[in-house]
Amino acid sequence: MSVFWRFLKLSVQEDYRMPVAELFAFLMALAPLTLYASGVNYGVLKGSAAFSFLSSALGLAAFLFLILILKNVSFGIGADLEKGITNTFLTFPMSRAKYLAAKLVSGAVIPFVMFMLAPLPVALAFAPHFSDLGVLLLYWGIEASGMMVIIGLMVLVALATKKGSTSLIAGLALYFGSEFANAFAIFYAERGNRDLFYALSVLNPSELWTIHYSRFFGSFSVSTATASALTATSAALGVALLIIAFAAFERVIDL
Amino acid sequence: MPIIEVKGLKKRYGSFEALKGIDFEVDEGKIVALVGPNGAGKTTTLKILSGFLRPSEGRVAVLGKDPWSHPELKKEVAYILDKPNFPPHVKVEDFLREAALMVGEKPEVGEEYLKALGLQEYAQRSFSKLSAGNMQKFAIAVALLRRPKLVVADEPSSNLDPGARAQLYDLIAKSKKENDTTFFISSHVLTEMEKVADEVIIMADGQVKAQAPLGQLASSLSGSSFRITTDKPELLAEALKGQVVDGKVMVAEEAASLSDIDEAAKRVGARVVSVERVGSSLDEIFKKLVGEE
Repeated sequence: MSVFWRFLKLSVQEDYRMPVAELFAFLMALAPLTLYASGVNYGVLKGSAAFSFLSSALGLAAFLFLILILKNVSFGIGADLEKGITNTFLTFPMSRAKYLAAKLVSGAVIPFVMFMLAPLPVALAFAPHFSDLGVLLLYWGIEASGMMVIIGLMVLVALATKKGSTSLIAGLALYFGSEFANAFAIFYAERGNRDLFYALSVLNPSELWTIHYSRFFGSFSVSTATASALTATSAALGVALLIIAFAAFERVIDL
Repeated sequence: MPIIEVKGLKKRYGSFEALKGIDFEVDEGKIVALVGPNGAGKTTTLKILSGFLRPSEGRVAVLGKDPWSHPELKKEVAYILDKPNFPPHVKVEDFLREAALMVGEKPEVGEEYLKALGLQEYAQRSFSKLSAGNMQKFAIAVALLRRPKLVVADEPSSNLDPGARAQLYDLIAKSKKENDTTFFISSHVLTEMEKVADEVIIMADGQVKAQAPLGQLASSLSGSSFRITTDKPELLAEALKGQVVDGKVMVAEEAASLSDIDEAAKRVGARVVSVERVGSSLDEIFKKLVGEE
């Protein structure tokens, strides 16, 4: 087993010593789908119905997992830098990039995979009722791109300030700030000014697809092309922020 | 071949220059003490040698490689941090096993060091339940278990009680003897460094003030003293304007000759049993070079 995997093992041990919150969030994600599969709603879910069902059934679980990820990233990266635990690990023969990658896998990728796995067995077992599995993939992609942007910014804040609490505040402010701002932006978009809404959707693309599928706002609708382009931009921004974080940690940041 | 080479090393934090272009070399198999007052630039130097800080200017080579861009060096180079910290909820035993495997050693190697440092009873505890002193001991065990070619240690005895300090210096001596390990140690405890160091580098204000074997440094600063054993040390010390250390009179050679000692002893009625010439202590050399800081 390489140094990376050994370090990842220790990080997982530290991050999930009492995975009660993770288990709760996992069951939260599983429960509505189990309920659906057991006969509460036997309609065949396709397209907008499938998306609406997923976002309402998994919305709370997605929120819980996001909070867990924010906690893991801020404590796992920011607080470890603050307390000198990062320095301890970097006294082992391991590159900084591998250190950061292991921290992100432990803190963010594992909870996200748990979130993805929760609805999968039920959705697959009851595939006839859930004929549009592409929507499930789309839903995961939207959640992943939104989370990546927040995580990328959090990691940069953690690396710059070397403080877990500052990084957590930045992540929470960004998430709730974008939610509030989105509500205002939708209000203005309804009245014809959509630029602000589209710009904010790069931070949080889920509203785009909710509007795209629900057509709730009457005259205001979002085309598939626009929603896809903005979601791709969001994902690209998330990836770019993470690449910048890795490059800065590997090449510039003093410990 | 030097195991550490530093040439023209500068480190700036904004407009503050912590290192002002230092040069030194450390030869393989030596124990070299890095001493200096607070803010001299010792920790900055050690952190650059360990790849935690990037130099602003100059060249640093550890085992011939730049420590910033060669993390694989840490298989052979161990770094003991001044305030070591570990993941609080991981068990000591689990960490030690993984640490041994991470540096290519057998998992049981760590146990030897736990025993040598008297840490066996803490093996089942998590790090959150360890005192600062035990954390420091554990950091020493983790550093030495890789049987390194070089140990860079920043104040390794700062949190240790006298017994643990003795254990640390025993381990250093053992590691040097068995593995020909080079030690580059920063410390404020000059009396301890005096006992173990082959060579001393004195730093102050971001500069190297001196580097030499301890004996050479003492004679070059003409700092020899007389150590006088007598039945009336207080009276003789007063007459010679010297000091009483461990019941013996210490007087600088430049302040009194042998005939001065003889005359003073007669004057105060003291019987002189023996007079030895001794070099300056590291503490005295340090004070001469960097003042009383």
